Amino acid sequence: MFKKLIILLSLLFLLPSSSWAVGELDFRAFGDLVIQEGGRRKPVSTFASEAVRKISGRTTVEGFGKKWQAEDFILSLMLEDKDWPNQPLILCNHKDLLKEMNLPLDEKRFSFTTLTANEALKRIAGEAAVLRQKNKADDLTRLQKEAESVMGRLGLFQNVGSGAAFTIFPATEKGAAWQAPTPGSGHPALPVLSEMLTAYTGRDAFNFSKKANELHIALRDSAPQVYPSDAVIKLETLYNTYQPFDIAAAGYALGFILLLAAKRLPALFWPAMIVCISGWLVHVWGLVARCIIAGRPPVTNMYESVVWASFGVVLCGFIFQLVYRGRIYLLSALPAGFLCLLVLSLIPSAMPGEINPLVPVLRDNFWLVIHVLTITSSYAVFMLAWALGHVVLWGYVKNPVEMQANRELHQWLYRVIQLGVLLLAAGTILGGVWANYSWGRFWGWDPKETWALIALLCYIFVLHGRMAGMWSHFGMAVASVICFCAVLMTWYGVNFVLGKGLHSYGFGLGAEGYVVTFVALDLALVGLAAWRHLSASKKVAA
Amino acid sequence: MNDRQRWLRDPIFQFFSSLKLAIILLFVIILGCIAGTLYESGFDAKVARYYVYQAAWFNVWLLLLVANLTCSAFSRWPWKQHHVAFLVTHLGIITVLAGALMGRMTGIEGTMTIFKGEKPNSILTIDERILEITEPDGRRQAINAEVFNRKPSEEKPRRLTTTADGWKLSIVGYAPLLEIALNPKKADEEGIPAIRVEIETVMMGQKLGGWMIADSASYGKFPMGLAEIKLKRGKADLTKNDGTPAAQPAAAGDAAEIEEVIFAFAKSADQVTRAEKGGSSGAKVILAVADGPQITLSYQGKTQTLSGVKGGETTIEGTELKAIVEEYWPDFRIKDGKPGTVSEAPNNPAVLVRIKGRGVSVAPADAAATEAPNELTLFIDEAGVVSYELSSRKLGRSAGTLPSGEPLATGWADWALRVGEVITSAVPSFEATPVAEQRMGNSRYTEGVKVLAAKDGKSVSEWIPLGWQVGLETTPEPIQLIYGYRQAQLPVALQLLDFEVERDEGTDTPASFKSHIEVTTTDGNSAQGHAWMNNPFSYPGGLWRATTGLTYKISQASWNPKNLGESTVQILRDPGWSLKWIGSLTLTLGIYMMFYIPRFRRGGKKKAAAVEPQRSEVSV
Repeated sequence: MFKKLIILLSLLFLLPSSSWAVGELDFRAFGDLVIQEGGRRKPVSTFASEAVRKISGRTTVEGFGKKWQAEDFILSLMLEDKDWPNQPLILCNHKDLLKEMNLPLDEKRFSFTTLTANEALKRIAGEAAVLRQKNKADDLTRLQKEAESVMGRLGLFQNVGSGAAFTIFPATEKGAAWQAPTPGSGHPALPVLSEMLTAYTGRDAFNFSKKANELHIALRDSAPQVYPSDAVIKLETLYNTYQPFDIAAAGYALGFILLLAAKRLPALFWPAMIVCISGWLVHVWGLVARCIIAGRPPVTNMYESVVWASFGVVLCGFIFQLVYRGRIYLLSALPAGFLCLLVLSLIPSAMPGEINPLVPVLRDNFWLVIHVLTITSSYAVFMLAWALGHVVLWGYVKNPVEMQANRELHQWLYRVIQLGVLLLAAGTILGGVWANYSWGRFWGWDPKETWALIALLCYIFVLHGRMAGMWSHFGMAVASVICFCAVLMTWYGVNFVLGKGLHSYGFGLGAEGYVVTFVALDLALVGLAAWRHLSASKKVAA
Repeated sequence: MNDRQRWLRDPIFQFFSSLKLAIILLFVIILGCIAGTLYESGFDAKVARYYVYQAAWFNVWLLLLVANLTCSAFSRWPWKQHHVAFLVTHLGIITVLAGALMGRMTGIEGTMTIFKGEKPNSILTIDERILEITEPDGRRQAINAEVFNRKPSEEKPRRLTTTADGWKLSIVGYAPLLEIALNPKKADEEGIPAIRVEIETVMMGQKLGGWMIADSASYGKFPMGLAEIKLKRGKADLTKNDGTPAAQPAAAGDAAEIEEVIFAFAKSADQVTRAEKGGSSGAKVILAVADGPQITLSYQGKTQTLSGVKGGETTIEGTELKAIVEEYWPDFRIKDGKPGTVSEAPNNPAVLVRIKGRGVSVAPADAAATEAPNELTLFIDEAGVVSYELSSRKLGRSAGTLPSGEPLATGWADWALRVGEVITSAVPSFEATPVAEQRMGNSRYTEGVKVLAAKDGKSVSEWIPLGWQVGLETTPEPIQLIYGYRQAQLPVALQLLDFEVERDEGTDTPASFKSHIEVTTTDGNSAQGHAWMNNPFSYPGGLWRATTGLTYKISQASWNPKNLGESTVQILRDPGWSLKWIGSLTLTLGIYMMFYIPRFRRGGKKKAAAVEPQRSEVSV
């Protein structure tokens, strides 16, 4: 019965591997250098992988017959005479934009030369720039926003290539801009840098690492008061290298399979639990590390909310399992958590995991943190209800009569929905507290607020309908799946589809295809279950 | 007891307290909210508010919900312990809605822009466009003139009011962009001289025109991007006509690193040269078009053909100079201040060539030439004779008289100027017309509405730009109209003492803005405080005021990156605040009790007992 989920699990093996093919150079020491970029100081390894992800929408670069590690790629782009500008690296995949640009629609990546020569792209991005200059960013069309993203990628490619983005020379004052290496500036670290770069072009692994370490010390000594401590940098490198959320996802997938197997082989139960708990602990470690690196809680963008909600759904699985002794809780929470983390891995361009400084409105705010965490926790709980709803619906597809008689499972589903309603109500009201604190008013019919209210009203509507006897067991299972669409709209849709309102800092583009397919498949399952349930009730009645 | 039972059995009461009604109400509110967010996404927040959130039907619906909640609460009469959760939850919702109603009716919300060093301001601007109508007898009224997604038009006018004189006023048009151009009228005496100039370029296919008023701070100028035309009273100093070129050639023969860009047009022999480094090479670029651009470069008497491809590099024979073709436009036009092409047809071909390398400079870099800016000053004397003093980077300085209609080559690319109509004594007057986009010149641009006054088959209409006052030529006396934002007088006044902007490290991205504000009241009290992102300043302060909402809450709303002595704050007063809080807390508590405290809910004990002991696994 879990075939669908098993198919999803097999996708796990398509995940980009986090371990690199062993090359002759070791980029660890180089990656530990510190760069100031995007408003914060971070290791070069972070910068390199972010740059690659921003430029290509992927985690590695392919070209000249090999896979390039991010650090290797940026160094090569900067120093080597390879024909990078003519490699199809730069992500440009919006169909309407491609049509305007007269480029083949079935390709996703194009070369720097092709894109910079494209007049349509320049024209559309120019229109966008004019709108921004006139302070009319709200009027930007999807096409213009996409063109701006592509121009941003081109700019980044160019700045990495020219070395202008490589701002590793610390300013002596806190808050001042760091510099890219300028030949002839007489900076004491310059000779070491050029030795390191020579070692790179000569593929001299020993000296490359050695000089990178020396450079690190030289740079730190040139501005010890602003250079971040090694511990923080190491933590971030560790976070980047091990990709804790990928490991957690793998743990959830494996734990799920083992838990399924434990139904036949009870001896597997505890090993399965150990795998799940370890996966979850890695997830927690990832969250904590992220908070330490960013210096704030994970409350600012789609990526962080998905990470938090997947953490929450597994936690709820554990808690409900402990309280109600029903293994089905964890068994449904695991695929949900896994699915969330899978989405982050599969479409990094839509939900980038970069750690960026907060926009002003989000800074230093206790109520913001409380409100976002409560709301995303309610998403997690509703996600659990949604997953449980699938278990129930699948039961109806398999054997409607038997499922109808299973009172306990329906009761458990109801319990989960209750917790979700409480959390969403509290979170929405806490959102009012924050809005009052930050924007001065309690409620302003902002789309995000309104959709949170809509989602809440949907569940309340369902609970009242149940009370009125309009539906009961089967209806609640259907509701747990359908009402989750309202949650998805609040969570994803407002930011990615509507794209209006005061919650603009969480806005993004992309992944509509995935979400729409997902919702459609889900509704198809509901339809199938409803058909089975109705025909079975007719038979009973007859 | 019997009485109670009778009202409990009343069909109207039963209708209002029924669960079915609750379900229908909830369902419609859900649909309404969804429609509201879609409206907001398609248009804007104001449209959503107009059609849904603040629409009468939605509020009636919320009132019905309150009636339903109240009646259903009383339908449980007499109340028992197991009703507590239900009652608390429903009471919470009623309280929140009551708070919202109170806030709507007695609250204030608006913005105020304050400037450092200016007097205290007590006028609040509310985000609602209005038309203020002043009738000849002094009667004044302000009518909402917000334009939503359905724009008023001649066919579908929006009625405003009828004046005491019997004029029927209505809005008959809305323009997102009105051009407010100066259009001076002849005055009998005591007027100011005004002239109309027309300026035209063949190369870029543009023609501009407009009026100027002599010595006026805003209309005595005609800005054109890189150059400016001014109009003054008096006569030009003809001795300035010395013909000295503005840019002195550098000592020839010195080889230096030079870099310059050359703009050349197929339709004109003229070219625009800008030396960026070291000086100008003196090279000429000739553009011809036949099956693509044919670019010829002439340097020191020799000519050669350049590679026509964009980015193509050609070394100039016998020199260390390289010529790079940077850009080619088949149909060149300046759009929004930037060069671009309007089509692929070679209607006005232009090319941009960069020359770079070691060479001999014939003219210094433009850094020196910027000291002699492109400037044209026109003079008009009492007799209406126009003279000019011109300074251009290319032609140097010149002066002379300028009869009407005669072209004057400005030396700025191929712009040529003609003086049109001349009024020796004029009064300023403006004309507003809807346009598609802004042009260079001294016109102002804003949105506007067209108002029509009709009486006995006669009608007059006028475009009114936002923030302007316009008189409608009605008889016997004109009606004065102002189109602007609704304003309210506050009992407190605000003064900006200081404004600070903090930025993210190493970037220009603002991290935080902070206004230091002083508030004064009519009875002479005053207080100072800071408002910054997420940290409003409340006046009067204190816990009691903060919890009841009986305070003016001043939050940082926006700022002007160009003027750091300016700050816009949002001012809010919401007396319904405490009810909203109490209601929210009650509501959450109620939900909690309903789900987790069995003795406060109906059938709680029984159901809990039925479910809790079954702690076995489920087979699926």
